[in-house]
Amino acid sequence: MIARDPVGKTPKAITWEQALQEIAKGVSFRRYLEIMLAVALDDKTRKEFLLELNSSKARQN
Amino acid sequence: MAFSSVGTNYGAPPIGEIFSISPETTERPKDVLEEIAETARAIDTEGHSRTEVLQEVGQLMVSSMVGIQLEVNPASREDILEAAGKSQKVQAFIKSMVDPLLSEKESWHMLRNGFLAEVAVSVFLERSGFKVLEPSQKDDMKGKIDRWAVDTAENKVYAIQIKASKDLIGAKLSKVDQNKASLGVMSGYRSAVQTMIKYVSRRQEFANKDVEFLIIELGAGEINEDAAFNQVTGVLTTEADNDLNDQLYEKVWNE
Repeated sequence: MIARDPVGKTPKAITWEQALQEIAKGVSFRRYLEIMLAVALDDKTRKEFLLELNSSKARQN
Repeated sequence: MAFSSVGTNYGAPPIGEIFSISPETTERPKDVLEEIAETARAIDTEGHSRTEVLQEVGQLMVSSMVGIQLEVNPASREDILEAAGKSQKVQAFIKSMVDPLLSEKESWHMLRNGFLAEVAVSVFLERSGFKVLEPSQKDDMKGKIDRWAVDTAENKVYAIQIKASKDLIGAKLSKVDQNKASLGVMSGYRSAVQTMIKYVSRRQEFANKDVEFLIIELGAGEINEDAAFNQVTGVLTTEADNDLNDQLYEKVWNE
């Protein structure tokens, strides 16, 4: 066997809080993309994320 | 000799059904796809080159869609439609990330064809018993390798280049023959195949490995009647699946 990642990784559900925590710990770019894709695919998590994003933008302004 | 028992759609009709899935069949409310796109636009790519982002995003799309397909029970229409819906969401996410990075000469459709062809080949090889592995960035950029497939029973590694084009018809598998001046492939592919062979031969990690080289060509595109795979799911058509299966048997397993 050669040392390469297997193909075929199904995006696993993650809550927005778990996503934030994992990203804050520091992850590879690929893992960061995987987390964001998982967030985007789940209707509830995605909505919560976008709400958080928009309130954060509003706070900055 | 037919080798249907190893076929990826053996005993189940749904590959034909999968192929009838179109973006219209799985259409989502526009606001859902727009929300997905908005989520993707929030991604911070600072510190990463355009090439790196495109490479990682492409691998993410292929790996996710292969994972989704490998979990499908091919006898369940509900499963098939759910997987198609998920695949459409994955594509909306990836498109939103890729669009701002494309030059005038590039298009999402062109890039998507390449990614979907990799999904098609990976799902086919996994279901045929190979362990399919992603190329590293170096394998991809310097070695022109699109996929690795490992035959664990034979202890053989296959380095694979995947070609997808609207000008191609169906599915064709060629095994590189290093004893021939032509390498056993079309002249247009020779230079890329030589790059792949040189790359593998110069890397210490393959020194004691039995590595063979394959080219897999697939017809692609929404308006190509001879396309080999579905534009939503990346799954091979029944005909392409059977053709590739026969060629795998003749050129790889029955050597």
